[in-house]
Amino acid sequence: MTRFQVVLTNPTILPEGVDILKQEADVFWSDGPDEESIIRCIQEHNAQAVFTRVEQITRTIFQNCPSLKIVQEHGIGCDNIDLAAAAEYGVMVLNIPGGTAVAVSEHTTMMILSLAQNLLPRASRLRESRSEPAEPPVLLEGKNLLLIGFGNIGRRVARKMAGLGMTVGVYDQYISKEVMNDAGVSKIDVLEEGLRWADVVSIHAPLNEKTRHMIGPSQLALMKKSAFLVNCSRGGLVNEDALYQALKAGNLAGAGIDVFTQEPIVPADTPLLSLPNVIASPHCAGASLEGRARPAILGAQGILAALRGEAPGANLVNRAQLEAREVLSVSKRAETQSNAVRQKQKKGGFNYA
Amino acid sequence: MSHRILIVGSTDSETKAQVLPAGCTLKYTAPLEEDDFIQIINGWRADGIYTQKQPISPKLLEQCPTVKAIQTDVIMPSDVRMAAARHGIQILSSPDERVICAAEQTLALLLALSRNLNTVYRQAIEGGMPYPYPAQWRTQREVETKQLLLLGLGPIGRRIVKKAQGFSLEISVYAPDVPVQELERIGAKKVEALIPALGGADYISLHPSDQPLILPRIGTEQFAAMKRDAFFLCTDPAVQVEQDALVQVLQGQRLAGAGIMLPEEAITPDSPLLHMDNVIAVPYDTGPEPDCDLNMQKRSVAVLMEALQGKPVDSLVNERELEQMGLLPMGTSLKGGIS
Repeated sequence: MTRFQVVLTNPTILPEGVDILKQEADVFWSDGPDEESIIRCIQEHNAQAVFTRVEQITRTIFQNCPSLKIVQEHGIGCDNIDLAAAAEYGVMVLNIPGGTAVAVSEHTTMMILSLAQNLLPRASRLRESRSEPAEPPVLLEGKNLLLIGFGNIGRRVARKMAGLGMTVGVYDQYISKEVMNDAGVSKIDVLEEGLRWADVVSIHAPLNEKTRHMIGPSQLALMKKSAFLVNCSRGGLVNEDALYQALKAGNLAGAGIDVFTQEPIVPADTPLLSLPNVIASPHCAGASLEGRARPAILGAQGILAALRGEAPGANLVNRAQLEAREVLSVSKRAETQSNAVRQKQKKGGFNYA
Repeated sequence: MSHRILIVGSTDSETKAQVLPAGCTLKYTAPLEEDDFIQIINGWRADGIYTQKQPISPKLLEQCPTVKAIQTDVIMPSDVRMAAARHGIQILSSPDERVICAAEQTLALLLALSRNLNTVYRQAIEGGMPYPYPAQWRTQREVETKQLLLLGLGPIGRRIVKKAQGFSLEISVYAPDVPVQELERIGAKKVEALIPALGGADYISLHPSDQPLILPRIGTEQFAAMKRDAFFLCTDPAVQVEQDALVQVLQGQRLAGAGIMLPEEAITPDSPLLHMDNVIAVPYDTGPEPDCDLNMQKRSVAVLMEALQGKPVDSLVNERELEQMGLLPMGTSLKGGIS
């Protein structure tokens, strides 16, 4: 049986996934995360698939690597991959929807609760025996939560926060009112209205040219002074300078931020980190002991299934672009779509059969 | 079935809920003379009433047959409580904000410990943590499907059981004073023996009721029974925890972490508990920031809806009278819910 050739662009992809790949493929690591190293590695081994994490998979890579058929992202966000160029060169881009949803949704709810409880400043006051009281906690029960985006993570956050007694409204142009009502949340059609209404805003959207800086000075100005903003999605979704100004001026009560424009975080360049009403973490919302190897395993399974010719389901990111270019054959398109429906029905399943 | 709730108070648009709970219609009215009030209730066929100050009399209860539950901040004399019970009407008090706050605090601590908040916050503000987040640091725990054991079931514990449902935790309760059926109704499992239960739990949280305390003091023996990767939570300042024993198990890595709320005078500034990454200790405060009328109203309407739907509620004022009328099973002690 012919073995597949797969290139990994990041050394931190865990062995649990690499071992699965090795059952049917020869696995190679690029010398570095840069474009040149990735191209060299793919060309040298005539690789059909790349397993990437945060490295940029650019048009130049697609142009120079005709053997490439699959790009598998290690998580859900594919803002590091040129999706249009991938489709142009007939390359399927796969992600792992739901792979980190449990952890991210729990991290998000932790940030919301910790901000409302003013947890870190209160703990610090006890530790430092300061006499001045910290701001008292605020209750979440009875308050309004606006979710921007209603994918795997947003839905989990909605369920948890509704259980806490919050009223949940969702702004997501791609999800119908009926689907939202079935999930027990209300559809918010106009983002600005949602921002005025909310006591807590949590973002669960992909980063692309439409969504970059979707929360900027004018959006922040609409929010209540008592409101909290949480972003565990992508750094570029929020204009960090505007957020810093709003928090510093007291126009917003607090923020929970896991993702930054510049990563790794450089504290000297990130004034947000100096504010006492900010809870920050270093892009680790998706990390968990239980889910440590999950993206590596699911990604490896996704690559092998696609290389075997099995139709991908909901994990095919550039479906629309491939269909537009008629890269997906009619029969494969039908198969892919029915697969996607099956996967939706099968909660959390990643069955390619 | 849609419920019709009459809200007596301010009729300003700012105090009206923009998004209603499912299955409910609200009507607002300013406070009224009794006869006018009765007329409005009957004309609109309200089955729930929320009021902060409107008096409720036996006459009103007699003449408004559609009413099934009333939430009020007015203190109800015994004859009114009994009159309500005679007509099968539940009288509810407004949700206690301190109870809600303590329940939310407990869940905040549970999640913050699971997500290593102290450590990841320090990593962020100090910088230098590579991106992607290195595998060896990924020690955060997922909460979903884990076992939460509540020791005792006071009002805060009941609130936690309710609030934790969305987190897919499996909740069990050690509370010898609470019948098994009552726990099943609120979505928790009863455990009979303390020490084995401690050994099976991922999170242990103390919430005694105001009944005479049946729980033992939490000390060396109890900590020794807990799993090494368990988290201990105590947000009730009345509970006695042996701090030295807690420090020992944490320092010996025989417990994953602890979240505690305690009066400032109960801990010295040099206590190791205040300086461990896997401990979050917060001072016992006077309570949450006062909330606006609209939010109080939303919380009250949510509880009224639960009562109207026959779900157990923890703010039932005329429970004893309903028991006497045979509308609540005798001996269920509390909050069984009326069908």
